[in-house]
Amino acid sequence: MMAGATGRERSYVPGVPLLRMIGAVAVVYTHLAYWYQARGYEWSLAMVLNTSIVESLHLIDHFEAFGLSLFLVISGLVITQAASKEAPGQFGTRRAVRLLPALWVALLLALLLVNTGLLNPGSGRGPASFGDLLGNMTLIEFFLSPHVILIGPTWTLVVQISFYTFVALMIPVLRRWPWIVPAVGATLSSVVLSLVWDLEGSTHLWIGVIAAYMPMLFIGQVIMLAWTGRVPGWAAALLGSIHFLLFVRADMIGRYVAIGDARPRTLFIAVLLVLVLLNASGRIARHRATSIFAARTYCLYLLHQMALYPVLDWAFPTLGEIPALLLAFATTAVVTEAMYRFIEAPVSRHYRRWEKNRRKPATPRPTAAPVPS
Amino acid sequence: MSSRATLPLDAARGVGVLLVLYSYVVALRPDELDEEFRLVSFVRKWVNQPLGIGEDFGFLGLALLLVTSGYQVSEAAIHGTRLVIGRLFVVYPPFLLAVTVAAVLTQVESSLLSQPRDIDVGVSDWLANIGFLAHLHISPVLLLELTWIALVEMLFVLCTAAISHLLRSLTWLAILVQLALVAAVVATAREASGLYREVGLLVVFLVIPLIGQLIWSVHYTRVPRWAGALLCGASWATLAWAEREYQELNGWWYALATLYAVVGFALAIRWSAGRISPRPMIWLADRAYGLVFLQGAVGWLAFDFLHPHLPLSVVAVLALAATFSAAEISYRFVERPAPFLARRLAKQYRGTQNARGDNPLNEGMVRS
Repeated sequence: MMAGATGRERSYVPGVPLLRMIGAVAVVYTHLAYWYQARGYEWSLAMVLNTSIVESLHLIDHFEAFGLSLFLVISGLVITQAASKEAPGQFGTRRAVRLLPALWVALLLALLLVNTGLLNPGSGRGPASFGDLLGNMTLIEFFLSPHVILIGPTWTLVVQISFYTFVALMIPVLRRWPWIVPAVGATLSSVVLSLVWDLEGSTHLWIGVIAAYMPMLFIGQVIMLAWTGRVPGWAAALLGSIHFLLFVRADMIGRYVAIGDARPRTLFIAVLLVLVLLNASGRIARHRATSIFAARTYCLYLLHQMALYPVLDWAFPTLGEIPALLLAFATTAVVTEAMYRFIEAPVSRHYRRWEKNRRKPATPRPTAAPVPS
Repeated sequence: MSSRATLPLDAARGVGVLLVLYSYVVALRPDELDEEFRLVSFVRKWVNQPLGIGEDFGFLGLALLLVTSGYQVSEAAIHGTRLVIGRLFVVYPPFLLAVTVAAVLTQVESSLLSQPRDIDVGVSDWLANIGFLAHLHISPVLLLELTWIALVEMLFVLCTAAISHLLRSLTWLAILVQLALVAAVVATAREASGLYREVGLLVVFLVIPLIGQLIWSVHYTRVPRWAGALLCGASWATLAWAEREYQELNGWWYALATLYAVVGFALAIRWSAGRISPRPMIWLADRAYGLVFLQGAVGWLAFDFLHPHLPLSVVAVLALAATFSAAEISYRFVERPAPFLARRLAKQYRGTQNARGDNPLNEGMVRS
């Protein structure tokens, strides 16, 4: 379907920033709507959207899992693009430099908020110990029981990092026979789901979660491979369908994707949106604000609950709905910007500079001009 | 049959008609005969339920046909009103033939995709059906359950013909006017009963070809993308609203299937415009309405006749083959000759009028 263009022409995906922005807005909206629901308030916007769109499309209330699906599909897409240009070590280090420093700082902040009672942990009960912090920083905490998860949404990082590791290991294959990577991924997911679906324990549960959600990332990968013309359209459709069916299977198991049969539908609609906007090059897609927003989506993903919930808990009863929302959004924007400007961007920049200097060939010493005999 | 560079249109029509055939011949008929088709159960469990596509893809297929028609009718409107009216010959002749075949088959006591299923019809019922009166509950017997799609398509053709001048000059306004009219009828018919409610229920589905028209207008940059997206959203919202408000539409998940059809069609237009259609696709696209209308008569008759003697999968294949053969006959002997016949009749009529000197303007019309 996307044939006719060379890989070179297709290496840039113009719609990604816009898609990232939509994904981030969807995630923040869902968590905000659940805050209203948990506190027993009614949010008129959520009511309107639930009746007009969510019910008509038979999705989960508050667009639950839509932003997540979008993010994972985009992640698969972008990571495949990066892996095509980088060596395995370089690929892994760049991802780690991008993700870990911001995660660690966000976790320190979360520890502070949880231990002062301003924020409930994403899972488990506070206060959290130093050991819990270390567990969260390495993401090992998810596999332990009992556990304290300081930032709820970081569970997707477990899935993403597993995918990154798999892709890093498969880079030589990805360059030569790209279709093999999602095919092996499907086999692995299927085998793992078959092995762990009925096993008890937190470790088995989370191994199952990884296998259940990996297909979302592989669908993104398949889209990217088709977009760059490295896999024919029919093969991409076949591989994408296999991964979709794997997600349906995980949904049927019910243990990992346990909210009815609307999650596969949500994933499908997210994939359709990605296909529609992949080539978006209109005014909104090209606008500077879109790229600025898109660049900060990872920080927003880490910090939005931490910024929104305590502010809303304090301001909503005292200031009222609209001022509380404005204050919460402003706080989220400020902390996100601060995290991006002082942690994520500089660390990444420094690393790239170091990487560049290291690769630069040593400048030859000036030699004396030959003396004419 | 030559190759032609209209792959997205042929593909949408071809896929649409295949989905309809699967829904009614392969899935619905065995259900009604209390037979379990394993393939159908598998597809329901793994595809229909997770994606929320009801009626075994039947409505999705019909929505694909309608959205494609919206696009094609609009393209025809640019070249003249007469070409738009010509679209009626794509729909009505195969419908007329299928209704007639269905009426004949009732005489041999065959089960049809009719309402009710086992019926005995007379000439008045046949006349009511070919005049679409049965669908509006004026006659108690509906010989073809899918009559509504012919009605929607023909209504859309007439609407487009009526505003084709505006569509050529101010496309966005023409679409807005149509959408406003549809929304007004749908909103006012909600509380009504009888004929007007039936009309309302029919007009709801006009939003699907209207979205096809919007995709056409955005594709040819007659309407900016943002306005197209906005109008498309409003059209879809009208259908979604009607689905909630009309008890008859509730629970069928039409809005979701429409979304899939529209996005699928828009993606096909974007990614494969200008590419050449393969011959099987052209064959299916050209006979789309013949297949849609005849499957409920010929396909079902073949199915009922063969199913006591052969395995279910073989019966399904043979029933489909019978439908394809009937559609081929319909195409060769009814659908293809129909426009030529109409043109000849129109020429003769105009010739008589000109000889009388009644209407000198007709001369110009013939030339155009």
